[in-house]
Amino acid sequence: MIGRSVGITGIGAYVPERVLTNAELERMVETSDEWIRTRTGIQERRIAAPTEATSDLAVPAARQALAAAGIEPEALDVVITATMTPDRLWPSAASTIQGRLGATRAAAFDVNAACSGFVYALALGTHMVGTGFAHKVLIIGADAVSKFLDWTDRNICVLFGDGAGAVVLEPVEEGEEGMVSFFLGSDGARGETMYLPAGGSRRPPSHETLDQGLHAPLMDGYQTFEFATFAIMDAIERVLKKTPYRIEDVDLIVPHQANIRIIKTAARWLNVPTERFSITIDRYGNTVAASIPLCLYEEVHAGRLKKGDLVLLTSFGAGLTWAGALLRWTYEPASSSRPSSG
Amino acid sequence: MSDVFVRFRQMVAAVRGIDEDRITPESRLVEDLEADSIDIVELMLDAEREFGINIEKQEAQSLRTVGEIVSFIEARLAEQSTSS
Amino acid sequence: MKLRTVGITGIGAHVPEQILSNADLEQRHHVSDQWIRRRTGVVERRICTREQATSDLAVPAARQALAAAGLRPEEVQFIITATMTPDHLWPSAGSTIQGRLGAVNAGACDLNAACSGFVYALAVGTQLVRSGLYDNVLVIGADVISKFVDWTDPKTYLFGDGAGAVVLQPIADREEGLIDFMLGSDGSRGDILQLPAGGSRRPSSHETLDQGLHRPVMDGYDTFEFAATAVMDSIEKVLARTSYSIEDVDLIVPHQANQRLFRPVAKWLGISVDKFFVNIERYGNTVAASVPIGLYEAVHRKRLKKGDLVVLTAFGAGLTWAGAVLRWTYSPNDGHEILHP
Repeated sequence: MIGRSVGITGIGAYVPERVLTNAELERMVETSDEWIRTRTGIQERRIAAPTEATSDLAVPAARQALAAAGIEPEALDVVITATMTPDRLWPSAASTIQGRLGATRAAAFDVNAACSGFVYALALGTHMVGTGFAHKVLIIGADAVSKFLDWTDRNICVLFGDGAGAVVLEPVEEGEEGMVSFFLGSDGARGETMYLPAGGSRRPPSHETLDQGLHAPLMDGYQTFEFATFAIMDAIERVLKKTPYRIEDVDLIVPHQANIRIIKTAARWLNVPTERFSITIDRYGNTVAASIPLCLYEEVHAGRLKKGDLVLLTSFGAGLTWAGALLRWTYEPASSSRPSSG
Repeated sequence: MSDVFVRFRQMVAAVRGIDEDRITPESRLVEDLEADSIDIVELMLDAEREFGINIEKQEAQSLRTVGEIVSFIEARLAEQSTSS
Repeated sequence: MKLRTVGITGIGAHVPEQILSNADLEQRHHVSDQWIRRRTGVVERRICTREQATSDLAVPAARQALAAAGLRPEEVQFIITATMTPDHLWPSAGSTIQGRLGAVNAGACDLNAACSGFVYALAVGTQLVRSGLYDNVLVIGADVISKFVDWTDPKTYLFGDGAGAVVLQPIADREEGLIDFMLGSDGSRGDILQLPAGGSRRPSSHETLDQGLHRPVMDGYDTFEFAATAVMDSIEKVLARTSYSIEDVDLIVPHQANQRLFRPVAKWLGISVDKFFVNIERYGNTVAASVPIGLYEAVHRKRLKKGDLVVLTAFGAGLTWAGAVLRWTYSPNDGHEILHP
């Protein structure tokens, strides 16, 4: 990349208070704790309250990231929110968040690349800072996919959770490296592998689309798994290829948290011990665009991610999209704490 | 005729595309001069720029005649000159 | 290494065939053509068929932009689609478009900044090329707002459907190209232009439909006041970031929200209203598509020539507003026609 070096200088995360355990799900649909755990690795997930929308999860995560970076909301130039479940189709969730943060000087927009959204937004934000167009950019990954779930569809409703994570991007010293390389991919030809049929301009909401159950996600489990394992490997390979680094140099791999079995398969294929992968799926499920920043936050505060570490992010999701990023970690927390929760 | 009236009458004439003689302090913007809501926003923004004052939507919507608006602007200008 | 200069090297636009004229609305809903014209300046607008969605308009616009730039789909490296009416909440319209173009080597995402989306996407895409990350980026503005409009509400008669697309590539420094941008947002006033239901705040349900919460809300007074202020602010701020002043500008291509905006803004800027390119009478407000459709028509109607200094200005839900200053770098080959003669 030509231009300035850019790094993460603050991080925050937020999950809703309400915990939904597998035991509770057993009482809601025909499933079992054992089935969910062995098939997905999920033990519990957080679910937004009826009054909570995506921006309500994002704002506390964003505040925490700003505090960690030691900057005031008015200092921000841009707020980018990666989400596929914005509060409304318009205005964007990012504008709502920008208003509530009091980031009065900041531009704001949403990015939608589904579960890859956070890495996509990180790439866009990095280049906005790298060229000098912006100096302080807030990148948020936030989704409240629970609002769209069919709680009688036992194959899908058990997989997801709600959450938000946020990072601050700023110029860093060249020697600190910061963001090293990105890969962003898409295969729209296979878009129907996972999608939400109605609610957009293809099938706007109507009593018919509701009666036909078209407002809940569809997902082809087999194709999804096949794509995810390909994508995780492909993104890692492509991101490393542009750099002098090899997989052995990487201190921590942070994959999108969709299914523990995808992560274990990737670990085996890469010949990397699973200990070098960040795993939070047991507690949060698949939180869509929030999953990677949520992992980063937890790793930092568990002392497993330290300034100077080489980190590889890899994600995949609806679109289809997949993405990867290699970065030298540039943030150190003042004191350790758990992710905030309502 | 006050200076504010003369200047405001010019603005109304330009925005509505009508002769200044048609405009008196008693003229009602909507009923007599056929201004619609967009004309009114334009006039208020014009007045804000011309006189360096701020007019809130509620205030704008409560004023019906040219004379009422002129008095409102004059009062705002008087407030500003005493407070500064 | 030095940052690169970036320019628009191809442009395309597409609108649906079906025309909805004021006369049609007059017949169906007892609103006069004269009233709509006076309020908005719109005479007719294009409306999608029942089957069409945003990506269906975007794909032909994108193909045309690629052809104009002499680029094959597989050479495209990134696609940003500015839209607030994507086909689906997921996947993004951007991915669907990428798949249908056969742009097999491109990443793709949607960007939502409502009517300011295209200028926002242009700003983002420019940085991706400027930094050397990509050489060929496709920026699309496309919306099918007709699917969300209540045609019994005269306030919404200003809308229409459409799509526009441009190709961004590195160019020679002396050509200037995309010079600078300003991007603004004021989420604290977001409620004056919104679609209340259908997202995570109020997911679609029979109740939200019965309550009419899937129709655009807009407060006329607040919206016009915001729009007029936003056009001024974006033009003044973006020019202040460059060495140019308003007198240097050959053409302003604004978001086509309402014909009535341009006279007061021209008056305040001290310029002729003819500096604004206006085509709202034929397409209405096409949301994120209006600026690229405006550029496309300006080029093909010979109002915009290579070397001209252009200002783009847009504003909309968010609230958001945006401005761009660019030296126009594209001239069409023979055989390219205006959108709908």
